[in-house]
Formats: sequence, structure tokens, C-alpha cells
Amino acid sequence: MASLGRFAVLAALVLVLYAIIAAVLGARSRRAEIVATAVRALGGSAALLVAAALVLLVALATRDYTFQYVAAHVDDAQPLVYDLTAFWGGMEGSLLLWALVLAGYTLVAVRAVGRAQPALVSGVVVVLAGVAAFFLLMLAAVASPFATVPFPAADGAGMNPLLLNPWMAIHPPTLYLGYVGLTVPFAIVIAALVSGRAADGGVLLARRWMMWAWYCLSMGLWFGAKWSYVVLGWGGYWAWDPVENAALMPWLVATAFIHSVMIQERREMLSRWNVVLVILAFGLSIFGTFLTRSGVLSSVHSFTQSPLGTLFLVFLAGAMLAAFAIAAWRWDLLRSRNELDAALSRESAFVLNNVLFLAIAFAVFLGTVFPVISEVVTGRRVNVGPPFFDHVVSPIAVGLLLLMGVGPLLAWRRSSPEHLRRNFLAPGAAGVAVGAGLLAAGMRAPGPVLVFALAGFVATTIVLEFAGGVRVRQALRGEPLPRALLGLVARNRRRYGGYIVHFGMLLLLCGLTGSSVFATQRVVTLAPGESGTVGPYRVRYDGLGQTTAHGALVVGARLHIFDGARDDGPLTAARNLYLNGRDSTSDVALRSTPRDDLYITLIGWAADGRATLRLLVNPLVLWMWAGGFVLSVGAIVAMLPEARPRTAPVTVPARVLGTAGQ
Amino acid sequence: MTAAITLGLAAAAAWYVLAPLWRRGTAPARGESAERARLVEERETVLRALGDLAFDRATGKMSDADYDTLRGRYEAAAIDALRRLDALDASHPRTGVAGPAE
Amino acid sequence: MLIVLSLAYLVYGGIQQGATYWVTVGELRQRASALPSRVRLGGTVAAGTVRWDTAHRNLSFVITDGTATLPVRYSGVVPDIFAEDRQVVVEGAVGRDGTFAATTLLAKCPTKYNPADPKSPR
Repeated sequence: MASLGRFAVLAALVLVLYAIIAAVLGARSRRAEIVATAVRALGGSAALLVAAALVLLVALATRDYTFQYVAAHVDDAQPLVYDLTAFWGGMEGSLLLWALVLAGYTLVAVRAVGRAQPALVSGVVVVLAGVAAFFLLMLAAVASPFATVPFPAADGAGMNPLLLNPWMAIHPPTLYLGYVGLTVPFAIVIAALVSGRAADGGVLLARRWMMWAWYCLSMGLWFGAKWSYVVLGWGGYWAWDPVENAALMPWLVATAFIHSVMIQERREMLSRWNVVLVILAFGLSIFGTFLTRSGVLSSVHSFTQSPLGTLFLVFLAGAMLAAFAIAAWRWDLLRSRNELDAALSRESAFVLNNVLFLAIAFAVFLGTVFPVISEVVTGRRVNVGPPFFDHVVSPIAVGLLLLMGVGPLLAWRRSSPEHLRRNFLAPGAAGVAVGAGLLAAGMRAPGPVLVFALAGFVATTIVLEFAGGVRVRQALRGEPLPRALLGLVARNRRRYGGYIVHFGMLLLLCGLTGSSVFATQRVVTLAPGESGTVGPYRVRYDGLGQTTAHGALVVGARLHIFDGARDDGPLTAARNLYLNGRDSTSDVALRSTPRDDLYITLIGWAADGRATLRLLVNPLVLWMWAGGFVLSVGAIVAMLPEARPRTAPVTVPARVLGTAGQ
Repeated sequence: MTAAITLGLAAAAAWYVLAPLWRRGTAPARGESAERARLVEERETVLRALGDLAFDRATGKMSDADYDTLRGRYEAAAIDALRRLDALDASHPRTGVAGPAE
Repeated sequence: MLIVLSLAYLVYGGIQQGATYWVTVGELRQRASALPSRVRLGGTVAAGTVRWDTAHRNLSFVITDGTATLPVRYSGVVPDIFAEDRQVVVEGAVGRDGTFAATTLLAKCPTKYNPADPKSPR
């Protein structure tokens, strides 16, 4: 069985190498049938990878411990579902997943590009096959999931119990859909540049793919944060860990791109900048994959030392050099055709947006690789922790929040100052009202007050955008409000989907601010019957209980919650002690309301029944999850294909006809 | 036995991959020429610009004076693009299926 | 240009706030006084040295880099991964009594590619 897997990977590698050669030959000789064989080779390689994946899945499902990989990540007590998710729980399997997802994307992308711009197909094939070749080479030669031992162990080691959780089950595949997804726009852009025929650098064709990859990255990040919060028991969701940053950086670049591409669509400007963004996004996604596989940076996520890290770095460096060299070669082709009409326009707001996003990305990058840089430069390894990131990123994020509100108020091309002032009035008043209200209610910290005030400002802007659009539509068609609203969104999916996404981001930022600034914590040791208070809650401890579940001894503290005078019912905080005597996880007692989360973990207990509990009140956490959900809805709306503008006869004044063409 | 199966599969795969080389008879679908693609892109850009302009003015973000100026400019550009596209199509009738932009 | 300058200012300030030096256990033992007050230390939890106080709030253990050892005190959130013979990273300073008073405790997962959990809150 394992040899079948090994063979499949090797054969896939051969086919992929063939595809590269055939695509180059076919393009050179302008013989489409040769390129067609390359495409078929990619199809064959994808089929082989599916076969390889099935081999691994079957081995995992049947707990075949002759596979080293299976023995390392599965044990007899593990539920079947997590045996299967162990596929991507280890390094070799995760590489196979990468290759598999890439193969899937390749097939879809080649098809789509073949329909839209057939001339680019050979270039896209070469790039995608090239990336695939690297991963397949790693799988075949360096990190094979199909390594076997002659004498299988009686039981496997199992995955770390922290991973046995639904959120962690979907987090890696979703993130991979994002990471790998960035390869496609990269391929399109490189192909367009090399072909020399696309003045936009292939950017407009690549846009859709970037949006999709961005969406997957967003969801992957969200799932990861949710897992961290719910499972890890420390009450937080983001730690500025290098691997978290590795996913954040491409997301930031992709977000910048989503905005700047709109300028390119309307004004045929910024094509060079957008090309750079696409290349950078891909580079950061490979960099992220590299970070999690080398021992370069100390991260709680990182692998142990492995030659894989160096190889990844070499690949990354090579790919970036080649990509930027190609871009430089075609630089003149990408010359902008227009300039910004006015400083007070939506275009300039988007330019500023890009600058800010890239600033954050740069800061995050710097902070992440700081230990390496400092060691090279000063000889001492210096770490910059969360305070650095918070300090640098927060002000920029606030700036972006402001921009999020001001941007929609500006018209494309040119905005008149009087109109801007008039449109600014209501949202501005709302923002001030929120700020004043919070100050009056006793909130003194300037940062949060500013954030919430801006949130009020932006929220009003968005609502007014919808209202204004609906009004226009009703004036034109006399539709009732619900119809007008639906019609408005349907006809302007990208614009209004975008506004919904902004609203989601807004909720997320509010939730982030609330939970990070206003969290309260108390550690209490209680005897049965005693209560502890935290924030508005009183927590009564009723005693310990013990059960066994899924291979672990579960010690639970029975609690009863009181919110002021109201009885909120029972809750249990537990710790799972696994049979190997070392692993333990927490089952957090969580009560979420829109106002705050009551988050309780059981830290320890004594023989006399006393328990030590950590009581945490995190305000507005629910807003974060809600924000993520809203963002998802908005993204889907925005990604649905836009209705084609209908052509209609237009009467053109004679004077225009007379001046046309000059 | 396994060797035979492997060889058989390899042969089948090779046949599948290389088959297109023997079907040279059908002419490959010609995509749009670079020139035409560029003109179509220009048309789309200008049409989108006009749409934006109308929307921005209707929702009260742009003054009438600015709107008239810009609209005049973009309408002229639209007509220009459409004219050149028509001229190109007239002199180079395209074979095969209609392109995706239609 | 203005933006570049503000960014540089922010970054500089951030580094001031967040920077900690990596040291080894051996260095700490020898040159404690010469090092900056807040340092980061990586090592392994020595077997048999993990002790909790009765209320399970204060942790003490010995960290080792294979040759040198150092006692550590910590009273924040302890990651679930924390156990004997596992790799940890602590941040803090050496107290007068020669014990390392840790303000942050991070544990690294022993197996490959297994995300472990982070540490105490800020």
C-alpha cells in the first residue's frame, strides 16, 4: 500500500515535469496540441495525488501502524474523525494536502484561463506545474508520508489532544485553500507578463482568484482564533506568534490588492503596483509555509529542525527573484495610462488604504523576523513580543478604521468638498455621540473611546450608503423597500458586498478592542459552596466530579453562575487528563452574551475538594465572531458574478459626436 | 504481476497525455487577439466609469458641474472605444465561437 | 514621506517596549548582572522538578539546557502542553535569590507540526 503511495507521488512528479517542458515547447512552437498534452499531464498528476491521498486516508482510518506517519499521529483511542484529520496534522501529510489542493486549483484555473485568455494557458501551466514540482520533490525525496516500518507498533502515539477539536479540524484545510489559492493569481500574472500581451499584467483576470484566496485566508484566520480561544484555555485568540503572523501577512497584502485593483479597473493605473502585490502575496504564502517548517524562529507552532526549511527558503528566494526579474523586464509594458484626478477622490483614499495595509504588513514582518535580523546584525538574538505588535499596529489600524468610513463618502475620480462636508455631517455626529456617550458613562481610556466613536461613524456611513442607494433605486423604479434593497445589492454586488464586509470588520475591531482592553481576571481558590466574583458575575463552586471520556480522566468543577440578581444556571469547567500521564487539556466553562463572555478554567484542585479557578470576563468577544460571520456573508455577496451591464440605446449630443476620436 | 500492472497503467497514462498530438485536424479555438482584448478592456473601463459617475451623482457625492465635465469626457472616450472596436471587427471577422466578453 | 517617518517612529517605540534578549541558561548563571533586566530563556523542564503550591497557583520547576540548570518561579497561566521533559520558553528576570522569576511561560509541542498553546495574557 505504501509503495503505491510512493509510486503515485513519483509518477505525479514525472508528469508535472513533463507538463513544464511540454508547455514551454508548445508555447515556443505555437502548437496548441502540445500545450494540450501538458494540461492532460496535469490532470493525470492530480488523479495520482488523489490516489496517494486515498492511500494515506485508508491507512489512517484502518490505523495501519506500519506507516510511520500513522503511528505518529493516530492512536487506538482517538475518534475516527480525528484519525482522518491527522492527514494534515503532521508535516508530511500537510505537504501532501498542499500538493493536492494545488492540483485541484490547477485544473480549475487552467480551464478558466483557457476560456478567458487562451494565450496565457501555457504560462499558467508552467508556473503552477513548477510550484507543484517543488512540493512533489519534497514529498518524494525529503518528507514522505509513506515511510514504513517493518514491525508495526501495538498502538500509535496519537495527536496532541489539543488538536482533537472541530475548529482545528477545519482550520488547516481552510487556511491552505487560502495559501495555495494565492498561487493561481501569481501564475496568471507571471504568464501575462512573460507573454507580453496583457497591458494590465494579467491583474484583472487574477482578481477573482485573489478575492477567493483572501476569503479563505480570512476564514482560516477566524477559525484559528476561535480554536485558540475555545480550546487553549488562556482566554485569548491572537498571540502574534510567528505562525499566526505568517497567515496574517499575505492576508494584509491581499486586502490591499482587493482595494487597489478597483483603481486599476477604473483608471488603468497602478498596474505595476498590483503586479508587485500579487507576487508579494504569493511570496508571503510560501514564506508562511516555510516558517512553520524550519527551526529558524522559535514558535510554539514550529517544527523541529528539518532540512525542509532550507529547501523552502531556497525555493522562495528563487521564485521571488525570478518573478521580480520578469516584472522588471516587462516594466515598461505596465505603464499607467492615467493619473489621479483629484486628491479628494475615492482613488486617493484607496492609495492611502494600500499604504497603511502594507505598513502593517511590513511591521508584522519586521517583528516576526526580528530575532534573525538582530542576531545577524548585533550577534545577539532579540525577540520582540506582543507589545511591539500592539504598539505599532494599533494606531495604523485605527487609521484604517477612519478611512473605512471616509472612503465611501468620496466619489470616484473627483469629490466636491461641499458634498463631502454635507455627507460627513450625519456620520460625524453619530461618531461624536458615541464618543460622548462613552465618556459620560465613565470610559476614560482614549484608545477605546476613539475606536468606538469611529465605529459609530463608519457604521452610519455604511447605513447611509445603503439608504442612499435604495432611495435612488426607488426614485427610478418605485419599488417597495425590500425589493429595492435586494435589487440594489444584486446589481452592485461588489460595492455592497464590500460594505457588508466592512461592517463585519467593524464588529470585529470593536470586539477586539473590548476584549483586549477591558478584560478582567481573577484567580480564586474556593471550597465547595464558596463563591468568587468577577465583573458583574458571582460564581459559586459546588464541588468536583470525575468521569472518563474519550481516553481521558475528566475532572470537572461544578459551578453556578449569578449575574447580579439573576440566576444564570450551572456551568462546568473541567480538565482532561490523558492516559499517557502528561497531556492535559481544559474544557473551558464559557457563557457568551453580546455584552461579554464569562470564561472560567479549572487550574487545579486539592484533596480536600478545594478548587483553584481562573475567572475571566471578556467583553464583546461575541462581536468578533459575529463580525467574522458578517464578513463571510459580505465576501460571498461580493464574489458572486456581477450582472453584465445591459446595453441600452443612448442619445448622444451632437457636440460629443463631433469631438470624439480627437 | 505488479510490474505488469504498473507498466499497463503507465502505458494508459502516456496514451491519455499524448493523445492530443494525433488530433491535429481540429483547429484550436483562437482567442481574442491582443489588440481586441485591449479594446474590450478599454470599453469595459469606460462603461464602468460612466456607471460610477451616475451613481455617485445620484447618491449626492458629486457636484453637477463635475459630473457634466467628467461625463462628457467619458462619453467621448466610450464612443471612441466602441468605434475602434467596430472597425477592428469589420476588418478582421473572427472565426469560431463568440468571445467571453460578448 | 510623512508616513514612512511615522512608521519608523512607531516601530522604534515598539521595539523599545517589546524587545527582550535571548539568553541561554549557562549565560544567565554566569553573567546575570551584565545582562538587561528582561530576558528570554529557552530550555527543557527538568524531570522531577515540577512543584505546585497547595492552591495550585504558583509553579516552580528547574529549567535546563542540557548542562546548566536554573530554578524558575511562575504564577500565571500555564499552557496545557507544559510537562516534564518538554521544551519551554520563559521571559522574566533573575531575582536576588538566584531564582528566575518568569512573567511569561511558553511551551513548545514535542512533536512536529503540532500547534501548541501560547502563554499568559499581557
